[in-house]
Amino acid sequence: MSLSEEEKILLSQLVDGELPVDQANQVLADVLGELSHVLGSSEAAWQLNAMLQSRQALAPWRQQEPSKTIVALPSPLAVDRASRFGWRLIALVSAVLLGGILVAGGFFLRGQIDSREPALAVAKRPAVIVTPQQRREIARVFALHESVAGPLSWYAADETTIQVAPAQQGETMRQPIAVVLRLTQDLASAARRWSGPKTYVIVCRNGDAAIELPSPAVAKAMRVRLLPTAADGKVSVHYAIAAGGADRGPEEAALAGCRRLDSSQTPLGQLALHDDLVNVDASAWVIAN
Amino acid sequence: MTEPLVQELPNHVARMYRVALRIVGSADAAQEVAQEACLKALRAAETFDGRAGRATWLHRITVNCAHDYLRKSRRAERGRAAWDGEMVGMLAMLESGPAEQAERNESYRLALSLVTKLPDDCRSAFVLTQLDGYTYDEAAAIENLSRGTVASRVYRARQILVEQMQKPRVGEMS
Repeated sequence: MSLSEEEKILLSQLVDGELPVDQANQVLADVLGELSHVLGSSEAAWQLNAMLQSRQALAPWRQQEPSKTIVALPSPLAVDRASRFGWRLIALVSAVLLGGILVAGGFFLRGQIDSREPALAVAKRPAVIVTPQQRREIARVFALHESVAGPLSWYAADETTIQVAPAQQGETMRQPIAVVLRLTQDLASAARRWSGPKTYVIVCRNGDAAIELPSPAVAKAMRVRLLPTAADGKVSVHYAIAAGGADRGPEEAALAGCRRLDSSQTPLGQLALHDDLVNVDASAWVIAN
Repeated sequence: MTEPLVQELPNHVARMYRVALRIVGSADAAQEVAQEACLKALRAAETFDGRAGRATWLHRITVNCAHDYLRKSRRAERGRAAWDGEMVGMLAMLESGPAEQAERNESYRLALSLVTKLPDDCRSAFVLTQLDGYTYDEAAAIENLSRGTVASRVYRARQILVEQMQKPRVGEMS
C-alpha cells in the first residue's frame, strides 16, 4: 500500500521524535496493523501493540483541559487582608521607632512601605493563564484572517506573536482572554502600509460570537473595545475605538458602532467583505498598560 | 521572580487541571481548583526556593487546593476513606449517571476503572505519568523516587492493565 505525502511527513516527524506521544503511538499502531500479517506471532509486536492500546485507552483523560481561561484574580477579601496586615506592620514599626528616632524612623518606614509594594502589586494584579492548546486555538482564529482578503491579511498569527495579558478587573469576571499581538519589526515590514511595531489588544471569549474588528484605516491607534452580547440567536456587537488615545481606558472610548449579526447564518467571509470590516471569533478590550 | 512563573504557568495549567479533576471529579470544580492553585502559586512565587522542581511545587499546591475544595464541599465524606485521597474524583466520574457513561468509550471506562484497582505503589507513578501527563523525571521528583523506579512501576502497572484488558468481560463470556 503506497503512502500519501502527509503520511510520509508523519513518519519523518516520528523518527525525529517530533510528534506528540499519543500521535506517535497512533502512527506506530497503524504501522503495526499494516504489518500484522508479516509479524504473525511475534511477541515483541504483540507486547508493543497491547501497550499502545492500553496507553491509547487513557488518551481521552490526557486530552482534558480547562474549558475556560484560568484567570487568577485575587479576591478583594484576600487583598484587603494583605493590605490590613501591611498597615498593621507599618503601624507597629512606626510606634516602636517613634520612641526617639522620629526622623530616622520616618525614612525607615518609607523603606518598609516601598519594599512591600511589589508583593501587594502582584497580589492585586490578575493573571490570565492560557494553556498552549488555547493559545493554538487563538492563533487559529487569527490564521483564519489570512484567508480573508482584508486589511488584516498580514496578521501572520502564530503562537509566538501572541502574548496574553489580563483584561480589566470588571471584565475579568466574564472570563475573557486578553490577547496582545505585538508585531515584530519583521512582521511589520511585511505589512506595507504599516511601519514600526503596533500593539493590538484582542480578547477571545468562549462561545460562538462573531465579532468585528475595525479596519486599520478606521482606527490607526487600533485600540478597540468590542462587547458582544447574545440573545435570541443573535449577537449584538458594540465596538468602540480609542483612536489616537492609546492610553485611554475603555470607559473613555466612544461607542463607534453596533451591529446585530446572525452568527449561525451569516458566513464570516461575507461579513468581512461588507463595509470593510473583518470578523473574528474574538472580542477585544482595551487593556491598561 | 513572579514574572517567569506567569510565563511558565500556561505550560502547567492543563496538568494542574487534570490533577484537580482526578481529585474533585467535576469539570467546573476542577476549573475552580486550578484557578485557585494558579492564584496561590502566583502569590507564593517568592517562597519558591527552587529546591523542588516547578512541576513538583505546582503539583503540591494543586493537590492541596483540591483537598481544600473537597473539605469545603464535604464531598470527601462518601465512604472512600480507603483511597489515598487522589482518586476520589475519578471514581465519582466513573460512577456518574448512565447517560454520561454511555458517552464515554467502553475501553476508556474500562481502563480508568482498572487504574483505580492497581496496587498502591505502582498506581501513583502510573497515574502521574499516564493521566496527569508528568514526565518520568517530574513524577520521580513528586514521588521522591528515582527515575528508574518510576519507569519500573509504570511498566508493572501497564502489564497489569494489559493483562486485565485482554481478559474477556463477564458479560462477554457466554
